[in-house]
Amino acid sequence: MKRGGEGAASQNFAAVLAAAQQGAAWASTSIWVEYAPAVSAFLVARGSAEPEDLTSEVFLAVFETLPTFRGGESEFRSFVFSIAYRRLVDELRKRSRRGIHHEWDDARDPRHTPSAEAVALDRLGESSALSLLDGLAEDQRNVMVLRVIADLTIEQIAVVLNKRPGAVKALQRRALEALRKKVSPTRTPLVPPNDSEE
Amino acid sequence: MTKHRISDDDAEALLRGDASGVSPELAALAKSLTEFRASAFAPAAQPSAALLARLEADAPVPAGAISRKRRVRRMLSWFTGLGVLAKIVLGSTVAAAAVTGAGAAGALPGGAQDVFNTVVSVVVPATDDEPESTPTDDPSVEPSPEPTDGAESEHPDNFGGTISEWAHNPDKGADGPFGQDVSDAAHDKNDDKDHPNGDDADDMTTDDQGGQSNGHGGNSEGNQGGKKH
Repeated sequence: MKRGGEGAASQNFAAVLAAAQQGAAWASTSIWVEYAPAVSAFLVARGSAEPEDLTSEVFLAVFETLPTFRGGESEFRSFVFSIAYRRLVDELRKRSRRGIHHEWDDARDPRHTPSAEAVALDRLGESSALSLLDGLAEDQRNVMVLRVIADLTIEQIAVVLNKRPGAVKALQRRALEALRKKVSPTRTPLVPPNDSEE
Repeated sequence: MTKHRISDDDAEALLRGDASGVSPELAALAKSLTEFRASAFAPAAQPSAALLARLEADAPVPAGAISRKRRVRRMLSWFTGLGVLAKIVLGSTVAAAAVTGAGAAGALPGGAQDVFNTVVSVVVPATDDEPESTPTDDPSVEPSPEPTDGAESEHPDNFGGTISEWAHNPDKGADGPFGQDVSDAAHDKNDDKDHPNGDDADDMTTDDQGGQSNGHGGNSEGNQGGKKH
């Protein structure tokens, strides 16, 4: 999918970028409005614990380094998601070191019998579309999220992940094959039906 | 059932969310990917306080800087946290400062400006800090920093006379105690400015002049009582 476009859209982006690099608030806001939803969705899909805060951190970093950025819209998209990816990796690394801490919540107390509503919500969460990528290898998951959510091309993802485009393409193919098996209606159920007792 | 390898075209169509562009065996995967894409997008993220400050600023904001809106908000929250008495005192101070500023600029209404001028001339006498180039009609007033002789100085006579006149004038609506208070305060200020070392002889001269000129026993007593000797 071609990003960046030509003509008016490209000129418009160039004008917004130049203004943002000069520190114009309207241009920075425009960039936030345009890119924040995709960045936030990328962070959600990759399992960030605080996607909203992390999105703000990403854009603070983007605006700080913006004066040194050179390139068009395609490069800018790679630039934004490179920062988002690095921030996400930092957060995941910190969490794996410290473990996950939750504020005390009565509803999470394992000694309590969960309500029917909580059970239903848990089931809904487990079966949500976001769990589609669960089970994929880390690299495959990154490629899929950056392609599906961030709408990056293989070349852009190669920049973000610091890999060769060929390697990204191979990861994408393997990920799609794995997903096809996962969602295939003919796949073998994990638990065989218990209707053969008789 | 034999499964073929996913072609590049199929892969692109799947990733675009174009279910109609993929082979039927990939329809389930296309649907799952579309749902995955839709579920990840949430309502627009809210910028953090730091980012909001950056977005509100017209130029890059240094770390730790806060916007004017935020300063006003902080000021308001601080003010609402004050006690009633503190608010009254603060309000009076602000009002006094506002009136003083307006009076100094000559922006008060006619009558109020007259009263302001009178009070200022009494409470804040001409000091040596004033520029030497200030024109004066009285040649007896020396521009030297040394205090002038009481007989030659216009200030002490004006002081006592004005206080007396103001304290007794029924048009001003001031009775004895009011005039006395003003006189006390004026003397204190005057003494502090003219005699920072607390020269008793000069103090006596000032008190005497005040008492003699206004002929008001209460004033003299009040002055003496108000002294911190």
